[in-house]
Parts: sequence; C-alpha cells; structure tokens
Amino acid sequence: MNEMPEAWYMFCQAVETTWLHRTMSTTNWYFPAVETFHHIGMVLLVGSISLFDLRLLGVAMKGQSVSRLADRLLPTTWTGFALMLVTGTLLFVTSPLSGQEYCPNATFRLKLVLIGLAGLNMAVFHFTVYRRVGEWDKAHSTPLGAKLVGSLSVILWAGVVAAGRWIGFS
Amino acid sequence: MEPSIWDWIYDLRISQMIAEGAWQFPALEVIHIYSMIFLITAVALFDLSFMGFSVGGETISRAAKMALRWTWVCFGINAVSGTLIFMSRAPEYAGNWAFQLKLALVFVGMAAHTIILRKAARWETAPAMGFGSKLLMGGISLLIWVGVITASRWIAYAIPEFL
Amino acid sequence: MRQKALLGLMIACGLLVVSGRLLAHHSAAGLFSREEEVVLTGAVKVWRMVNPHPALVFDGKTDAGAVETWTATFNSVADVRKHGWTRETFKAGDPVTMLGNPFFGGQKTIFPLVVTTPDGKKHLMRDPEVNKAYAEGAHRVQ
Repeated sequence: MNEMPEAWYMFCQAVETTWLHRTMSTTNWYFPAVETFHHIGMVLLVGSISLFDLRLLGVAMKGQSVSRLADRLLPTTWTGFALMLVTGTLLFVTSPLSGQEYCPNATFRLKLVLIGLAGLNMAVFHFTVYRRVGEWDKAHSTPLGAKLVGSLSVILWAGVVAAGRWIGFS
Repeated sequence: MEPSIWDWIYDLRISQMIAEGAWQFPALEVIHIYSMIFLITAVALFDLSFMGFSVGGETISRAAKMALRWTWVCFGINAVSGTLIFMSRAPEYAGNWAFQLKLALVFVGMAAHTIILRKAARWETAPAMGFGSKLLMGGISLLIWVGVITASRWIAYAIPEFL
Repeated sequence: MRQKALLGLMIACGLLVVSGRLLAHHSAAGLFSREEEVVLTGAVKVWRMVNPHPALVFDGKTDAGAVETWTATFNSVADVRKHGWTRETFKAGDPVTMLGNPFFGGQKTIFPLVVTTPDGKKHLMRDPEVNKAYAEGAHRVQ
C-alpha cells in the first residue's frame, strides 16, 4: 500500500462513495453477469488480435492480404475492447477498496500496465512498419518489424489474460 | 456417509496439490481460459466462413479442416486442464448444476460442430441454403458457446459451498 | 441440419429458463454485511481447504435460533495456512464456533472473523477494526 500513488488511492476512495458501487456490491448476481460479458469481450478482443498476430508471424492465413485482414478484424477488435473497458470498469467498481480490494492489488495494476504496453505496441506498429504495408502486404514472409510486433503482442495479451486470472490469488 | 468416487478423486495426491498449491490452480485456470479463447475463435471463423464471410480468404473446405484441427487441439487442452481443476474439488463440482450445464453445452457444441465440419471439409463451395437458415445456425452456435462461458462464470455462485 | 437447428432452439429455451432461476438464486462472493455480526456454534460437516476459497460447511445455531447449515468462506488457502491449518484440522462432527459477517440476501454464508477450532484455540481471521471502519464509512488506511 505504501508504494501506491496518493491520487490513485483517492480515486478509489471516491469510487466507493458512488451509487454504482453501492448497487453493484450489494446485488447478488451482478458480478458473475458482468464477468460473463467481460469474458465474451476477451474472446472478441484477444481472439481477433491473435489472428492478426498469427498473420504477422507468418503462421496462419499466409498469403492473405495483411491490410485486408486488418480491415476485417478491426471492428471485432474495437467491439471487444469497448466491451472490456465497460465491463472491466463495472467489475472494478464493485470493490476497489472493500471486498476484492482491486485498488492496492499489484496484479491488477500489472494487468493495466500490460494492456497499455500492448496498445503502445500496436501504435508503434501502425506508425512504423505498417506504413509501408503496400510493399509486403501479401508476402508469406513479413518484415522483421512485423514479426517482432506480432510476437510481443502475443506475449503481452497472454500476460493480460494471466494477470486477469491471477488477481484473485494475490 | 459412504465415500463416493468423487471423494476418492478429491483425496488423490495430485488433487490435493492443485487444491492447496499456491500457483497450480491459477495456472490451470489461465491455460484453460486462454485455450478457450482460441477454441471459440476457431468455431467463429468457420461459422463466419459458412455464412459467407471469409476472414482469412480461405475456401470453406479449407476453413473447415483448420477449424476441425484447432477446435480439437484446444478442446484437448481444456479437457486436461479442466479435469485437473475438477479433481481438486470433485465432490462439489460433480454436484454443481452450473458445471453440469457447462459440460452438456460443451458436449452439444463440440458434437454438432464436428459433424458439420467433417461434412464441410468435403464441400467445393458453401452449401446452397438460404442466408436466413445459415444465420440461424450461426446464431445457435454462438448461443451454445456464450452459454458455455456464462455457465462457467456461474459455477462459483451456483452452490453456497463454493463461495 | 434441421434437427440440429431444433436442438439448438431447445437449448436456447433451456438457457432462458435456467437464467430465470439464476436471477432468483441468491449467491454472491464477497457481498457480506460488515455491520452485522453473528456467532454460530455447532458441528463440522465438510472442510474444504481448497483453491480458490476454502470452505467450512457446518451445522450451527445462534443463541436463540434453530440449527441450520452454514458455509464459512475464507479468503484463500494461504490465509488459513497462516494459522497452521491443514486438511485435517476439521473433521466431520468436530465442534466449531464461528464469529463473522453474514452475506446479504439471507443466504446462510458467513465471512469469518474469529474461528474457534476443535482444539479450542481462537483464530483471528481478519482485522475487526477494519470492519468497523468500513461500516462507519471510512476506508482502509495503512
């Protein structure tokens, strides 16, 4: 608790005073119901991103146009991400400081960091290697940069899934 | 009270290790869930291909062959990890209606999916069905696997001994 | 094909029926009342020192009431192991006293504060001051 930033702690305290917190933490079936949608979003998000990563790594859908694949997968990825954001927030609100105590939980914060890194990874890819996708769009063997981004993405998102499950055990 | 087979499974050394260990249980859960993501993704890819939306640009027979392989690889991983998790608390899982529902849905989903996939692996083109029928089948497939996810989340809440 | 569609529809209807039952089912995790405390004395039925939450099922009664089956749910295996507990600590029929916070919704589940094990020793599972502070609207400070 000592190494927790003051601002973060105060935010968590504020959340505990909200109507949303009170309702969600005292209504029995909220948690599993929201968790269900959280998992559905996870399948959409991690599933679609993994497919793209597998293409970048040259493991699956070789020869398929990378840019076309990206266009096809993007709506699913964004839907999944939106669902994760909303359900993740709702889950967090049930007990930032009471019950599950997400606020001081190091694994929870690690999960957020990994998500941020995964996003950063994708942004970097988009503004560098992907800029010249026209040159390697249908190539079976993608540039090294694409392979690096793909590997990192797989590792980071696996880490997010793992951290998510481990929150309850730390 | 007579000890049941579930009690016997619960008393095994490996069950106890998973039940009381610091990392075995969460590790198994992570593997189980990560594999689930790919299982459902593989199911979805074929369903989409069946409905005419090919994500990877594959023919339907190729999509079916890949889906067949990946769903069964993932199912294998889930079956092993799931069994180990089950063993750690066999008596309660065995009597848990949410768990029973989950297994029933998985059985139905894998059976239906496999039957269709094996047929589809031999198709030259997508079958001549109305899009409405295709959509219905895709919808049912979706319902089954969403049902699996839902039932799984409810296992911990279905009987008081789990809380 | 049509038979499978019919099967799917039956499953969907089954899910709808079941979900109605789910909504009626008052089970919850971590949703306990911090203000209320209850003391139960009774006999152990089942002790599960398992992931993710150890559970002690026992027949207990308050001073006033009749005997009912309660479930005490603990935070983690590590938590109870700190008190030196093992799988053998509680056996069916052993005496146990449980002081803790009951769950919402009238379900017979309790989050333990002080547990008296069969050997007579008392174990403090959580900080009661934290409970009181929460109940009074403050939040955990360390």
